[in-house]
Amino acid sequence: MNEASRLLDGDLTATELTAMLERLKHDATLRDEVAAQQLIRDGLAGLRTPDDGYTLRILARLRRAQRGEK
Amino acid sequence: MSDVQLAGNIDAALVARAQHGEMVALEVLVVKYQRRVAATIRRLVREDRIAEELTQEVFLSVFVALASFKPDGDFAAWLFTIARNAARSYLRSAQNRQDDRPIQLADEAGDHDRLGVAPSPEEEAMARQLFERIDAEVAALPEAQRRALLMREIDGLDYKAIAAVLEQPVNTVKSHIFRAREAIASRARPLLAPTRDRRW
Repeated sequence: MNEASRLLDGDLTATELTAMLERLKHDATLRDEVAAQQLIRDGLAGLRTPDDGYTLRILARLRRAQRGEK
Repeated sequence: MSDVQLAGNIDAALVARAQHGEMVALEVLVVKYQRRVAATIRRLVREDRIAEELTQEVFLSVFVALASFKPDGDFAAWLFTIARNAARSYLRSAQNRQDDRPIQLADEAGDHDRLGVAPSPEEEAMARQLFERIDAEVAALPEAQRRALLMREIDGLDYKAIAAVLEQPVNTVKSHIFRAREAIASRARPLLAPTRDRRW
Protein backbone atom coordinates (compact mmCIF):
# COMPACT_ATOMS: atom_id res chain seq x y z
CA MET A 1 0.00 0.00 0.00
CA ASN A 2 1.44 3.40 -0.79
CA GLU A 3 2.67 5.66 1.96
CA ALA A 4 0.12 8.41 1.48
CA SER A 5 -2.75 5.94 1.81
CA ARG A 6 -1.18 4.36 4.86
CA LEU A 7 -0.83 7.77 6.53
CA LEU A 8 -4.43 8.74 5.83
CA ASP A 9 -5.68 5.34 7.00
CA GLY A 10 -3.59 5.41 10.17
CA ASP A 11 -1.88 2.28 8.94
CA LEU A 12 1.54 3.34 10.18
CA THR A 13 3.52 2.51 13.28
CA ALA A 14 4.67 5.35 15.53
CA THR A 15 8.20 5.02 14.13
CA GLU A 16 6.91 5.12 10.56
CA LEU A 17 4.83 8.19 11.38
CA THR A 18 7.90 9.98 12.70
CA ALA A 19 9.81 9.17 9.51
CA MET A 20 6.87 10.14 7.33
CA LEU A 21 6.42 13.53 9.01
CA GLU A 22 10.12 14.23 8.60
CA ARG A 23 9.88 13.45 4.89
CA LEU A 24 6.75 15.54 4.46
CA LYS A 25 8.67 18.59 5.66
CA HIS A 26 11.03 18.34 2.69
CA ASP A 27 9.36 16.21 0.03
CA ALA A 28 6.89 18.22 -2.06
CA THR A 29 6.02 15.19 -4.19
CA LEU A 30 5.00 13.21 -1.13
CA ARG A 31 2.97 16.15 0.19
CA ASP A 32 1.18 16.37 -3.14
CA GLU A 33 0.48 12.63 -3.12
CA VAL A 34 -1.13 12.88 0.34
CA ALA A 35 -3.21 15.89 -0.70
CA ALA A 36 -4.23 14.29 -4.01
CA GLN A 37 -5.25 11.05 -2.30
CA GLN A 38 -7.34 13.03 0.17
CA LEU A 39 -8.92 15.04 -2.65
CA ILE A 40 -9.97 11.80 -4.36
CA ARG A 41 -11.33 10.37 -1.10
CA ASP A 42 -13.30 13.53 -0.44
CA GLY A 43 -14.57 13.46 -4.01
CA LEU A 44 -15.77 9.89 -3.56
CA ALA A 45 -17.54 10.97 -0.40
CA GLY A 46 -19.34 13.74 -2.29
CA LEU A 47 -17.18 16.66 -1.14
CA ARG A 48 -16.45 18.04 -4.57
CA THR A 49 -14.87 21.43 -4.13
CA PRO A 50 -12.43 22.78 -6.71
CA ASP A 51 -8.72 22.62 -6.04
CA ASP A 52 -8.38 26.40 -5.83
CA GLY A 53 -5.59 26.69 -3.28
CA TYR A 54 -7.84 26.90 -0.28
CA THR A 55 -5.80 24.42 1.75
CA LEU A 56 -2.70 26.53 1.15
CA ARG A 57 -4.49 29.61 2.42
CA ILE A 58 -5.48 27.84 5.64
CA LEU A 59 -1.91 26.66 6.10
CA ALA A 60 -0.56 30.14 5.45
CA ARG A 61 -2.78 31.51 8.21
CA LEU A 62 -1.66 28.78 10.60
CA ARG A 63 1.98 29.52 9.86
CA ARG A 64 1.40 33.18 10.50
CA ALA A 65 -0.31 32.32 13.79
CA GLN A 66 2.63 30.11 14.71
CA ARG A 67 4.96 33.04 14.10
CA GLY A 68 2.75 35.13 16.35
CA GLU A 69 1.42 37.24 13.50
CA LYS A 70 -2.25 38.02 12.95
CA MET B 1 6.22 5.83 22.27
CA SER B 2 6.04 2.12 21.50
CA ASP B 3 6.23 1.06 17.89
CA VAL B 4 2.68 -0.19 17.48
CA GLN B 5 0.26 0.25 14.62
CA LEU B 6 -1.52 3.57 15.18
CA ALA B 7 -4.75 2.43 13.47
CA GLY B 8 -7.66 4.52 14.78
CA ASN B 9 -5.30 6.63 16.85
CA ILE B 10 -3.58 8.35 13.95
CA ASP B 11 -5.34 11.66 14.59
CA ALA B 12 -4.41 11.66 18.27
CA ALA B 13 -0.83 10.78 17.31
CA LEU B 14 -0.75 13.71 14.87
CA VAL B 15 -2.16 16.08 17.49
CA ALA B 16 0.47 14.88 19.97
CA ARG B 17 3.21 15.72 17.44
CA ALA B 18 1.62 19.10 16.77
CA GLN B 19 1.48 19.77 20.52
CA HIS B 20 5.25 19.36 20.50
CA GLY B 21 5.60 21.98 17.81
CA GLU B 22 5.65 19.77 14.74
CA MET B 23 3.50 21.91 12.47
CA VAL B 24 3.60 19.41 9.63
CA ALA B 25 1.46 17.08 11.78
CA LEU B 26 -1.21 19.77 12.08
CA GLU B 27 -0.93 20.36 8.32
CA VAL B 28 -1.77 16.69 7.70
CA LEU B 29 -4.90 17.13 9.80
CA VAL B 30 -5.86 20.25 7.82
CA VAL B 31 -5.42 18.39 4.53
CA LYS B 32 -7.43 15.47 5.86
CA TYR B 33 -10.36 17.38 7.34
CA GLN B 34 -10.70 20.80 5.71
CA ARG B 35 -13.30 19.85 3.10
CA ARG B 36 -15.43 18.03 5.67
CA VAL B 37 -15.22 20.96 8.07
CA ALA B 38 -16.16 23.38 5.27
CA ALA B 39 -19.11 21.16 4.29
CA THR B 40 -20.35 20.98 7.89
CA ILE B 41 -20.22 24.76 8.23
CA ARG B 42 -21.71 25.35 4.78
CA ARG B 43 -24.75 23.26 5.71
CA LEU B 44 -25.37 25.62 8.63
CA VAL B 45 -24.51 29.04 7.22
CA ARG B 46 -25.50 28.25 3.60
CA GLU B 47 -22.99 30.62 2.11
CA ASP B 48 -19.73 29.45 0.54
CA ARG B 49 -17.80 32.58 1.29
CA ILE B 50 -18.69 32.61 4.97
CA ALA B 51 -18.10 28.86 5.22
CA GLU B 52 -14.58 29.23 3.87
CA GLU B 53 -13.78 32.06 6.22
CA LEU B 54 -15.14 30.17 9.22
CA THR B 55 -13.23 27.03 8.20
CA GLN B 56 -10.01 29.00 8.47
CA GLU B 57 -11.11 30.30 11.86
CA VAL B 58 -11.83 26.75 13.02
CA PHE B 59 -8.32 25.56 12.23
CA LEU B 60 -6.88 28.64 13.90
CA SER B 61 -8.95 27.79 16.98
CA VAL B 62 -7.62 24.24 16.87
CA PHE B 63 -4.08 25.58 16.70
CA VAL B 64 -4.65 27.91 19.64
CA ALA B 65 -6.37 25.21 21.73
CA LEU B 66 -4.00 22.36 20.82
CA ALA B 67 -2.57 22.16 24.32
CA SER B 68 -6.01 21.46 25.78
CA PHE B 69 -6.63 18.40 23.61
CA LYS B 70 -6.36 15.22 25.69
CA PRO B 71 -4.22 12.38 24.28
CA ASP B 72 -7.13 9.91 24.50
CA GLY B 73 -9.60 12.36 22.95
CA ASP B 74 -11.48 11.99 19.69
CA PHE B 75 -9.94 14.64 17.43
CA ALA B 76 -12.68 14.52 14.79
CA ALA B 77 -15.43 14.97 17.40
CA TRP B 78 -13.51 17.89 18.93
CA LEU B 79 -12.89 19.48 15.54
CA PHE B 80 -16.51 19.23 14.37
CA THR B 81 -17.75 20.59 17.68
CA ILE B 82 -15.53 23.64 17.15
CA ALA B 83 -16.83 23.90 13.57
CA ARG B 84 -20.50 23.73 14.56
CA ASN B 85 -19.94 26.23 17.37
CA ALA B 86 -18.22 28.62 14.96
CA ALA B 87 -21.15 28.40 12.55
CA ARG B 88 -23.75 28.88 15.29
CA SER B 89 -21.83 31.78 16.73
CA TYR B 90 -21.73 33.40 13.29
CA LEU B 91 -25.46 32.86 12.82
CA ARG B 92 -26.21 34.35 16.24
CA SER B 93 -24.08 37.40 15.54
CA ALA B 94 -25.71 37.78 12.11
CA GLN B 95 -29.14 37.70 13.76
CA ASN B 96 -28.06 40.26 16.31
CA ARG B 97 -26.73 42.72 13.76
CA GLN B 98 -29.38 45.35 13.38
CA ASP B 99 -28.29 46.80 10.07
CA ASP B 100 -28.08 43.36 8.44
CA ARG B 101 -24.74 44.07 6.82
CA PRO B 102 -22.51 41.01 6.32
CA ILE B 103 -19.51 40.71 8.60
CA GLN B 104 -16.31 42.13 7.19
CA LEU B 105 -14.26 39.28 5.87
CA ALA B 106 -10.51 39.17 6.12
CA ASP B 107 -9.91 39.78 2.41
CA GLU B 108 -12.05 42.89 2.55
CA ALA B 109 -9.94 44.05 5.44
CA GLY B 110 -6.81 44.02 3.33
CA ASP B 111 -5.71 40.43 3.85
CA HIS B 112 -3.83 39.21 0.81
CA ASP B 113 -4.59 35.54 1.22
CA ARG B 114 -7.62 35.55 -1.06
CA LEU B 115 -9.90 34.36 1.70
CA GLY B 116 -13.25 33.03 0.73
CA VAL B 117 -12.91 34.00 -2.93
CA ALA B 118 -15.04 31.92 -5.25
CA PRO B 119 -13.19 29.48 -7.51
CA SER B 120 -12.56 30.66 -11.07
CA PRO B 121 -14.59 29.17 -13.94
CA GLU B 122 -11.40 27.36 -15.00
CA GLU B 123 -11.03 25.82 -11.54
CA GLU B 124 -14.70 24.83 -11.54
CA ALA B 125 -14.33 23.19 -14.95
CA MET B 126 -11.21 21.29 -13.90
CA ALA B 127 -12.94 20.06 -10.77
CA ARG B 128 -15.96 18.92 -12.75
CA GLN B 129 -13.73 17.03 -15.16
CA LEU B 130 -11.82 15.41 -12.30
CA PHE B 131 -14.90 14.22 -10.45
CA GLU B 132 -16.54 12.95 -13.63
CA ARG B 133 -13.40 10.93 -14.26
CA ILE B 134 -13.50 9.58 -10.71
CA ASP B 135 -17.15 8.55 -11.14
CA ALA B 136 -16.32 6.81 -14.41
CA GLU B 137 -13.39 4.98 -12.83
CA VAL B 138 -15.49 3.87 -9.86
CA ALA B 139 -18.11 2.51 -12.25
CA ALA B 140 -15.43 0.60 -14.12
CA LEU B 141 -13.97 -1.10 -11.04
CA PRO B 142 -14.43 -4.84 -10.49
CA GLU B 143 -17.51 -5.44 -8.32
CA ALA B 144 -15.59 -6.61 -5.23
CA GLN B 145 -13.34 -3.54 -5.28
CA ARG B 146 -16.21 -1.15 -5.90
CA ARG B 147 -18.34 -2.49 -3.07
CA ALA B 148 -15.48 -2.38 -0.57
CA LEU B 149 -14.41 1.11 -1.66
CA LEU B 150 -17.90 2.58 -1.46
CA MET B 151 -18.50 1.09 1.98
CA ARG B 152 -15.31 2.76 3.10
CA GLU B 153 -15.67 6.15 1.41
CA ILE B 154 -19.43 6.67 1.28
CA ASP B 155 -20.64 4.72 4.31
CA GLY B 156 -17.54 5.49 6.38
CA LEU B 157 -17.17 1.91 7.61
CA ASP B 158 -13.83 0.74 8.94
CA TYR B 159 -12.03 -2.25 7.47
CA LYS B 160 -13.30 -4.65 10.13
CA ALA B 161 -16.92 -3.69 9.56
CA ILE B 162 -16.55 -4.00 5.79
CA ALA B 163 -14.92 -7.41 6.22
CA ALA B 164 -17.85 -8.52 8.36
CA VAL B 165 -20.44 -7.31 5.83
CA LEU B 166 -18.63 -8.85 2.87
CA GLU B 167 -17.63 -11.96 4.84
CA GLN B 168 -14.04 -11.60 3.72
CA PRO B 169 -10.75 -11.38 5.64
CA VAL B 170 -9.72 -7.84 6.64
CA ASN B 171 -6.57 -8.08 4.54
CA THR B 172 -8.60 -8.97 1.46
CA VAL B 173 -10.80 -5.94 2.04
CA LYS B 174 -7.73 -3.73 2.49
CA SER B 175 -6.31 -5.09 -0.73
CA HIS B 176 -9.55 -4.43 -2.66
CA ILE B 177 -9.72 -0.86 -1.39
CA PHE B 178 -6.06 -0.22 -2.06
CA ARG B 179 -6.31 -1.52 -5.63
CA ALA B 180 -9.45 0.52 -6.23
CA ARG B 181 -7.83 3.71 -4.97
CA GLU B 182 -4.70 3.09 -7.00
CA ALA B 183 -6.72 2.48 -10.16
CA ILE B 184 -8.67 5.69 -9.67
CA ALA B 185 -5.63 7.74 -8.68
CA SER B 186 -3.53 6.57 -11.61
CA ARG B 187 -6.22 7.61 -14.08
CA ALA B 188 -7.05 10.82 -12.27
CA ARG B 189 -3.40 11.90 -11.99
CA PRO B 190 -3.21 13.72 -15.34
CA LEU B 191 -6.21 15.79 -14.25
CA LEU B 192 -4.63 16.49 -10.88
CA ALA B 193 -1.32 17.72 -12.31
CA PRO B 194 -2.37 21.27 -13.29
CA THR B 195 -3.45 22.12 -9.73
CA ARG B 196 -0.51 20.51 -8.01
CA ASP B 197 0.90 23.80 -6.71
CA ARG B 198 -2.47 24.67 -5.18
CA ARG B 199 -2.80 21.67 -2.90
CA TRP B 200 -0.06 21.46 -0.27
